[in-house]
Amino acid sequence: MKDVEKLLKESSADVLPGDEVKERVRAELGLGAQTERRAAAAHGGTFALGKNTKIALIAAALVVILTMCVVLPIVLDGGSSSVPPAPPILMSTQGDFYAYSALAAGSVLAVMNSSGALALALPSPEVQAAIRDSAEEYLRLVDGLLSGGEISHTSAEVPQKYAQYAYAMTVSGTGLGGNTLTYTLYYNENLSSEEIDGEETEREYDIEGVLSTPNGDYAVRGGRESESEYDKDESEEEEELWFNAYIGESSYIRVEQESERESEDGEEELERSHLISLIENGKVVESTTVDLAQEDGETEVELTVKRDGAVDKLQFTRETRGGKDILYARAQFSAGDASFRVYVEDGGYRFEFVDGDEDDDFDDDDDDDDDRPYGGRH
Amino acid sequence: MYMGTDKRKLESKVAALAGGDTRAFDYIYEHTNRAVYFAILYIVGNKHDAEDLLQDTYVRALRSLGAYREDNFTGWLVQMGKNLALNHVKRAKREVATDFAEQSWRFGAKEEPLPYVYDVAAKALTEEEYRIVMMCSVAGYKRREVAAMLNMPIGTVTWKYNEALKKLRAKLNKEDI
Repeated sequence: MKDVEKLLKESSADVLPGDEVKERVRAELGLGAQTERRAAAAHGGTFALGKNTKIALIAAALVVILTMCVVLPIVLDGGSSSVPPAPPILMSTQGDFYAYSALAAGSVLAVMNSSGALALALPSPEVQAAIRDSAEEYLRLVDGLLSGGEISHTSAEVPQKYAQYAYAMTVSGTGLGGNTLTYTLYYNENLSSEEIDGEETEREYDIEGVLSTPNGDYAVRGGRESESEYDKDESEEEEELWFNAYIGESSYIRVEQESERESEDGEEELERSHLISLIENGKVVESTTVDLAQEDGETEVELTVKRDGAVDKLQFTRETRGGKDILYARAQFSAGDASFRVYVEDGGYRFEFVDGDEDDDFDDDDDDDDDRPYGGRH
Repeated sequence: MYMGTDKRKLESKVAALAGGDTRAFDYIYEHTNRAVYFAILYIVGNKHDAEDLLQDTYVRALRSLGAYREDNFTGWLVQMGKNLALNHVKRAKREVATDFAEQSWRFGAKEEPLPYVYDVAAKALTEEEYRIVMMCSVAGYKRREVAAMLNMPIGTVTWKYNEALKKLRAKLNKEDI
């Protein structure tokens, strides 16, 4: 029998309450508009954005959150702040950050399918086209935003206009469609709570600031929590970061990141998740989740996009064969399910759909060496 | 899930919200909703109703914040959620089943069943055990956070948690899962 805790955790997403409950409470109590107006007024926020700008902001938010995880502790360790140095976090160096980014971009990924039971017939040309269109968009999102080579960030001077903020950080990345995005985040981070109990340390920070973009400034408010526990033979570190970037009177982008690392007797387990939600008029209209898990040398990555009532899931791995990058993917899209290979050629993607028989290559059953990802081909 | 619930900070946020600072809402919700949710879920047994009742709980509670006089806001919310859930179950029992209810799958309205292990947990564990397991294993709270919410020593939470897991494991083994 499987471990009970693991069984519970495996299906927790099907049980835990959805984010929309919170938004419904907020809407029913009339809290959203009040909160956002106040935040926007406080920071000179602007409203009324086009769809493209909102999508770009989602992209920017993801870049910012990934970057903040690395930069904030480094900045705080700089010494000028009265805030105590942050405890060790999962990505405490830029090297770690880029390693993760490259990983998420698909360069060192392993197949993560847990069931291995999905045997699919070759989808119809129409379904293939629909899947291809969606997959291309998602691949660009992941490639563009998480590729270490395409993200840069620097600590910036704080201009007079933002003198109330202690820190500034400029972030550049590539968004959907290949366009370059450059934003500056001006922010304060205040230690709001600290508990040290023997080997366990817990700190909470409030983050407040402004995300400055060519289209205007957007109030940012959130927080960060870090927990660490060290023992002789085991250690556990958790880091959470979340903030809202307000884009309208009752619309904002919610960014949440969780990461957890446990090590025991020399074995290490790492889990990370990023959730980016677009809330319009108090309602979640779109959310993107990137989950990554590493255990026993295996890496699993899953991208989930929810919008217009539909859920698209994309699981993937990437390897280099014959000098060419090949991405193996399994899609469970609203348009249909499919397994396919993606060849990265001339800066674009070429798709090759596979049928149910070939789909065996995508299986990854830990208990069966013959079933290792693509192992049968070597 | 946001970890590190600090009781004093939570109480200060509640006071701030009662005083009109709506920015406190996010903190309060994120630090309490799962404790309330699992107390409700144990009673109603399905996610859809539990989410609706969770919403009702917060709306009612936050509209009557002036009446809050205790020093355990999570406990207050949990009790309110349980009362709403029990009323809901009583009301549902009084209602006569209709063809629509019995054939809801035909109309796309059938409630998705909870994963089996959760059903077994709800049947095999007491309410207290169920809440401890869910809050520690699923909601991501630390033992001492659960201890604070349940007004229990940490050692007691740990002991009850381990006992509950053993009980659940034995039940699942018996059913050959």
